[in-house]
Amino acid sequence: MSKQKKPRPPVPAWLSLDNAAKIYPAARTKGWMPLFRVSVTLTEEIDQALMQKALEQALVRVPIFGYRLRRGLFWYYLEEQKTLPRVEGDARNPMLPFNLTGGKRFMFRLRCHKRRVALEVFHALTDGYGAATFLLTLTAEYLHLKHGLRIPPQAMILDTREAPRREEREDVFPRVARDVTRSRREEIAWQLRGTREMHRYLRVVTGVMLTDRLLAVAREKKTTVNTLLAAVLLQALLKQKAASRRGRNKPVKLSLPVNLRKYYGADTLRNFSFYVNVPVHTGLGAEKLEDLITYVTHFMGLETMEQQLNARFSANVKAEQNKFLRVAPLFLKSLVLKVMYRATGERYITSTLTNLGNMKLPEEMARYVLRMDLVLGAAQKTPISAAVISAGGRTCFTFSKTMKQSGVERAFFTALVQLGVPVLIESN
Amino acid sequence: MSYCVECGVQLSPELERCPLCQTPVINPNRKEPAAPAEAAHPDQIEEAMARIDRGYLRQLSVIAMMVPVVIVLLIDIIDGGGTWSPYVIGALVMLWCFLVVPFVFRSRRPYVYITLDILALSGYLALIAAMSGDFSWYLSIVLPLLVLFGVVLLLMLLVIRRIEMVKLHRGGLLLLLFGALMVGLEIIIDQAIWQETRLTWSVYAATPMVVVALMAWLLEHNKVLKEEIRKRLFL
Repeated sequence: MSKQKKPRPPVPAWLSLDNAAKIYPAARTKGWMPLFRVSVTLTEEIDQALMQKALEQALVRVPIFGYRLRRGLFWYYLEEQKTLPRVEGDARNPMLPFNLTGGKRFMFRLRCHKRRVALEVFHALTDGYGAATFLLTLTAEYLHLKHGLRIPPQAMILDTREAPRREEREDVFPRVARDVTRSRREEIAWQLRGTREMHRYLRVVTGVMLTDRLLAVAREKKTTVNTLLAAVLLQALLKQKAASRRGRNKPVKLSLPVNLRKYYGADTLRNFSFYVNVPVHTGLGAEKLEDLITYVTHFMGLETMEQQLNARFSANVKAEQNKFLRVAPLFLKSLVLKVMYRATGERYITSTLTNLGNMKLPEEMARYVLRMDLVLGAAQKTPISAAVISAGGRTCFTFSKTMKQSGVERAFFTALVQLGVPVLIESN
Repeated sequence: MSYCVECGVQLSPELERCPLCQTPVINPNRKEPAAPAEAAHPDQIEEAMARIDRGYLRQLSVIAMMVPVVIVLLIDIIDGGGTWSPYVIGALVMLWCFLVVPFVFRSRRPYVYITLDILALSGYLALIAAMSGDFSWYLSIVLPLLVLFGVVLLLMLLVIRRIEMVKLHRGGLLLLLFGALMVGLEIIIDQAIWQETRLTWSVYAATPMVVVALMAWLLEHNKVLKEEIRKRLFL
């Protein structure tokens, strides 16, 4: 029986960029763009032809991934395109900047290598939650095509037989922003320095741990896994600062993105997250792990209150809606945003730790999924970033860096080993 | 599976040194390196796209053009008068706009380059008119012709690149635009010579184009005939 192709449901011909995304096209340069990568490793080798079919189906369900970036007179925007992307082979050096201009340019790449399928995304399109949702939906569709499985849809696995929903392409920021705003000024952070890696080579070091073991250690310390990992990473950064003679008065600051969807019940697959920069000032003596855990817990507890987050991102929304800014031509806006990003964007942080959490997969899918990985692309200034995701009973913590020195990840992983969490290290 | 004796972490089978401390992996039980199937990362390294440094090329092209400009200017001034150098300099600037600008600027919009080329050509011809002291030919025929060509060319580009339509409709529309160009050409020439419009040869040129455009339009709506023609004429 031949299968009939599903007609594509109608989608808007174009969309404006969401509030968080507006900085990214302006901030990118010839050799850099804000990228991140999320991947799924299966228990069997991937059939690329089937993965291509699954990708086509996934794009019908999540059409915003098929849009391309275009320049308008006043703003960048997303435009629908009817062409289809191809599945590509993977490389040892992930997340090289890719070309967004010209015909058939997508804002993501889907790459396969043996048992792993990886999605590399330009941050103007979506955030980690949106990318993971697309990838899990794609993987579920692939498993359906390969093994005839019917994987029940859930929060991050969409039903490809359903039509796309308006809520999934909504820019939620303007809807929930309020009049009360908070200044975006912050203290300048202490910066790591080191010898640069090979040109355009992102060094990736992944530590694979058993999620249960990590959970057990977090419970022993009476905290959450996220706080524990943040505290251990802060401790590793503080050790590096202690060994350096620079910037004694500047704090070590760790940027922790926060998913805003749970606060507002949003279903959007566009960007909808914000960050909290946790500052730790040194000079008060050795920072014990327990002290750092307490500090991070209380700091995050205050800064992740809905009112605080809202006040901070409302300032961005207000700036976007400013009458004078709106009528300024794009080339001028881009120039100003580029300068502002260079001057302030990454000066306020030492490093980033992004955590997508524990992906609870349905039983039908979980038996085919070995693990998931999340990797942040090279930052413009900060030489090291970290990302963590759990799936299939395994937690993968990945450092991505543009410097050769490995002091931070060494201190981090050895600390985890000493806490009783065995770690398997992989690196490119 | 090997462990790093310094860090205490387990190491992926393909690693020969610990990535955290560079301690070599010495495992007497391990006879050979791990098979490629177990390697966590592919072997292939992707090459970054080679990007032309357009800023440097821009500066170089301007400097290269300044050399003949300065020489010509000096010779003309020394020879006396500054009478002929503007023609040469104007021509050089115009050629720079035609030939060099599309390569040294990043814009991928042909509309920008066509508009610039039309402006460059009209500027050069205006310079010639100014040097000769007579603007009448420029205003009566050159400028309207350039505007007409420019507008029609831009519209044709728009039809080819941006407007979504089936090929037969697109071909028909392009023919109509070409016919309009013929008519516009004759109107401008007639006005310049006789100060009135006498449409003659352009009607003969435009009529077949209109007819073919109509036929293309009708053929698109007759699917059976279209399929028959496609069947008989496929390559």
